[in-house]
Amino acid sequence: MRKKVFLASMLAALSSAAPTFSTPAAADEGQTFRMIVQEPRFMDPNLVDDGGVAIQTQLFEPLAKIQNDGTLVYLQANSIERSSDGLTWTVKLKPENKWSNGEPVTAMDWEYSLKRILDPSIASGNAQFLTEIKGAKAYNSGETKDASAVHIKAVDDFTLVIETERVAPSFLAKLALPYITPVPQAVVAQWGERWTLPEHIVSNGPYKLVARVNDQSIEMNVNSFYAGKKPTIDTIRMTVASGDICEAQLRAYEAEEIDFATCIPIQDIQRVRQDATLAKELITNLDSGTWWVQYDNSHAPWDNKDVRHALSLAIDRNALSSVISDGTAAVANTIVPPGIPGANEDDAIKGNVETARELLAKAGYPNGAGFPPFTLTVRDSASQPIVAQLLQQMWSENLGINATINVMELKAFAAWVNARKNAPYDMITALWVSDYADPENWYGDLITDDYRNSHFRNEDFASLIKQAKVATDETQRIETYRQANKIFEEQQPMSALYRETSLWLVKPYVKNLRPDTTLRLYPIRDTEIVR
Amino acid sequence: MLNQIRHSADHDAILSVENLSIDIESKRGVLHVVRGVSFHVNAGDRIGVVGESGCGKSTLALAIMRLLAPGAAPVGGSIQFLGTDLLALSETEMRRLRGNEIGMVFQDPAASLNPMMTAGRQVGETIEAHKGVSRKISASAAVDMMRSVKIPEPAVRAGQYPHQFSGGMRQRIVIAMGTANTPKLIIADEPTTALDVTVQAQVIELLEKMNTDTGSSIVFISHNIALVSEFCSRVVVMYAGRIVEEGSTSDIFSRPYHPYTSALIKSVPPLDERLADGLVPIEGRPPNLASKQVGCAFAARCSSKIEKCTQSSPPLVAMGPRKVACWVTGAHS
Amino acid sequence: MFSFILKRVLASIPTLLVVYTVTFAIAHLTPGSPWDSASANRPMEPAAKAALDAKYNLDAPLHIQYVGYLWGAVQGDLGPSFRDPTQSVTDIVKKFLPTSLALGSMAIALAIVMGLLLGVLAALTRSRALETAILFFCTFCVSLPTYIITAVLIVTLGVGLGLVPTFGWKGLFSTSAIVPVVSLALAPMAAIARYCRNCVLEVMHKDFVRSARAKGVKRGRIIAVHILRNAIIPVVTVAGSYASSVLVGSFFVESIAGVPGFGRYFVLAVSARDYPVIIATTLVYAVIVVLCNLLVDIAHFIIDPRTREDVR
Repeated sequence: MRKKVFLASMLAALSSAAPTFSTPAAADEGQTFRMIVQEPRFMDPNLVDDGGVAIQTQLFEPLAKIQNDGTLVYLQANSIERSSDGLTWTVKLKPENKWSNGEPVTAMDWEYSLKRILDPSIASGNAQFLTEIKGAKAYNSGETKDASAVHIKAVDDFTLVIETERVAPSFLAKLALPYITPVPQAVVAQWGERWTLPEHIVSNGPYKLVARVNDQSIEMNVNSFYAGKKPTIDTIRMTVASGDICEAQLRAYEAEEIDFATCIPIQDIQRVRQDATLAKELITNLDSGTWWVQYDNSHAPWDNKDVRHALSLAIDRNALSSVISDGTAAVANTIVPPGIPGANEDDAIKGNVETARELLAKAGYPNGAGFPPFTLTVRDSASQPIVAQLLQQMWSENLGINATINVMELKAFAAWVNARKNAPYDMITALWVSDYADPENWYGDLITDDYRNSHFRNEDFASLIKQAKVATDETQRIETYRQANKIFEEQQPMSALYRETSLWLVKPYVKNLRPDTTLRLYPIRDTEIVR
Repeated sequence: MLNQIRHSADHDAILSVENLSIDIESKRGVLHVVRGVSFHVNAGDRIGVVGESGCGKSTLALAIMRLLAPGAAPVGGSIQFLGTDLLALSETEMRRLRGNEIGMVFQDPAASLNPMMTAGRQVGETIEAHKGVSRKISASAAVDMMRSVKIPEPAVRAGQYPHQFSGGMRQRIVIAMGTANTPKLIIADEPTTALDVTVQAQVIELLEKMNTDTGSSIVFISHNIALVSEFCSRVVVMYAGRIVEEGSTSDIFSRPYHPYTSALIKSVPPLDERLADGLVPIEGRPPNLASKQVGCAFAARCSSKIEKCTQSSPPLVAMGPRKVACWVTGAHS
Repeated sequence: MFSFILKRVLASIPTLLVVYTVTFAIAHLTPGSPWDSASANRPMEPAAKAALDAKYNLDAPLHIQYVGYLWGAVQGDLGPSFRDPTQSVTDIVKKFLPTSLALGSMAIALAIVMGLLLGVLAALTRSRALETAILFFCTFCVSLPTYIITAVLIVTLGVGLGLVPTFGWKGLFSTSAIVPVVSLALAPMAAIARYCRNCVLEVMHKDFVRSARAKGVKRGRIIAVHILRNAIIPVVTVAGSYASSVLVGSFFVESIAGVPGFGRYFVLAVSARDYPVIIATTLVYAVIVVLCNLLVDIAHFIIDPRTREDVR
């Protein structure tokens, strides 16, 4: 009897797992695109401020996008006009735009959504793209609770008028970001935070969410009300992975379980590139982003420019790229990547290991003698501990100075870096990826706003950036950034290391899948499966 | 008297052990634990095998049951049971004899009983193994058996586990278990060692009753020569794997020939003696069984040894109705 | 029996309280807040951070949070998940625990059956080669890290032979369960096998086994009734201790094989600093450990008559 009870409870445990047995019904009627993604942090598009945006762009569509070649393509907008004084932006929406429930996408939805992004109580990381709007900063920081003080106004069903605080030429690029998308006011109001559940969610993009099991799967079908170019792929089936998703992707790709992989584990890059089949399916795309090593410019020895130059010149960047990416990463000699107006690799400081030694001696540390011990803190990602070891070795061999390496768990590292605002440190490695292809994203957000806490202060640089920010003449604006870039590189508050190359694997029957915008999105709407 | 002595070839011998030698392979080399032992058990006999621990008596008992531990094996001689050479039987044939024709009563009843099985089942198992009866029948037979070994409330106790019994009761179960099929031969290996004197006497009484009621022959193995003298008609004294003296209990007790036998008698209190006065422990230790023995094995501890004792080993020779292996007291011309 | 169980359940309350306290402390002392994103390009605005802290009561003093959460948990409210505000922690436990429980039950059942078989075989076989082979295999399985076993199985069975999917979960009775079940089962199986062999060898030389042989009981019955029944008692303890760790799921196995289970969720919660989920999953883990121990005791109670005295 007792044994039976035990058995019964075992069976109960087994059968309670039964609901997860059901597999999504095979959608044989149309084409299915299969891939592996990381669990998105958010399903609410107003909150998505990280790589999850690649998933979101299938569901939610922004006003426009800026393609890799710099051209603006309108999506939800018919036009975006700037007034002659440069302060008012008028967005005309396409009246045929529909939500996936058939309701029209109105300027009121857009007004609601942009203000929602700025609402401090939902704490969206995307608020920082909209802070140039008049009244936005005060509302977002909680100074005023009155959303109507933010100058975003739906003047009619399909016209949205936005006023900026001051002239902001780069605002267009921000409005065209995939992070800036509308949410359906009525649905959000009805369901609250649970509106993103598959049974409630309504989207304005080419696809709609039909099923989602947390940490397991995401399934999308074509949004039949979508007014833009209709997708040819009917279903997108995403399997959710955690941990090293590159490994899971490569295995599944090789086993023909997915059609597309967005990365390759470091240890497999060489094999993939030498494999006759896989090499043909490899799509490489240089990222608009840079990894660098950053000094705490606020204290000695890092406040000495000669020291910063010496450390930079002692780095063998080719060796770094070769070890961490089989040479697929590009050597970076300057922080701001080529393609961003103002950037120029010729601004890189000149010299070699010899020069480095001389500079270190000039700074008072001949052959590294007397150089204080220092710590290089890096995140525990696949590449950074290796980068740290290589840097440690190069500096030790070339300059005779010894770094201690401190590897921190990802989130602890992020918190630690954020906490360096008022606390001294030695150095870190860091990364910035272009949100939008405008110099302001680098010189303004990253460097002037000092998101990485480099504590770099230079009056000439600061005043140039201030000028550039409000410059209405495009040629003059870019020339100002050029000058700023020269000062920045000469000052060397951080030393560029390399730029990653996205390595995609795409099955030969998948057509028109190319990295889109600087964020390397993969709009499946444009993709076809041709067998 | 001389003519009345029965000889080895006697047809009513139940058990004949002839020139049996047993070696144990150990880490320290081969131990010759039993060397050339011969003795006979006739129907209804109560034979005692005595000696200090390590003299080979328990090994001898296990050899008869063919239950020697791995590494121990007979290297010479034979064991005849009712005319059959046990050493030549297959394992299956041997299994059919065990518990059926030859029963064994082990020492240390706490360890000899399976802690996870009721007393009744353990007794019944002996019956089931040989009689091909149903569990129900064997269970009631087990209760009867437990009653016959004087376990009170046998029907209730049969359903209890060994840890619920006292030491004496456990020994009764062990006896019931070993003798449930009224075997022709019972080998009782130190059946009373762990028990206090009163219980010892009860157990002895039980074995005695079994012997008289069923006519089973009993080989009673003990280090306690006094106990043996109470119970057995004949005694075999073992020392260092050999028989040093054999004869009727009364003879040996009244006039031991071998100095070891004398020492053994002096070292143990008689059963009914409360006072342990005048006990003389045997000096020294038994010899190392791994080494080749030159001379009498007891010589080193013997107070009456002569030169010859350390030079060659004395054979077991008949002295009237008895046998003894001693250069000093034996009849050697 | 009932009072025994009740006593044990009551005795586990202080344990759970200690687990709660330690987890609460560790979760809140670990650097990084739930709002620091490791993947976003830029840090969160302080105002937004403050708003979220207020929303989830993280701006209250720690001791208030400590008592507040405990009070909620006692009433069955495990709080909201920071990582996914659309789900309550109770939802998450309900969603993820059954998968791991099912997977773990299957694995531990396989481990026990195979472990006992291999252990008994190794102990009783007369073939020295077979015994050595089994022991070598077991040592191999125990010493190999689980994530390597999982990866090797996926590469050989999935990528190489195409027999199982390389990733994902389609339920316990599908090919997608083979790799995780086997990966989870191997180490406990090997441990149980080795333990079982040792116990059988030990019991085999016990006096009562010799007694049984002296009674003329057949070899098969001696093994089944006398040896195994006694040898299984310590094996149950070992199996129980493995069961609790296998039942709540293994992060490595679940991550690599793509099983949406409790073990994986726990680690994701830790890396997200999702305090309510961290605390709740740890408590659930503790409860399962307590239950497994209780099950082991009940199993002992059923198997071993000697324990029944103490229990009464």
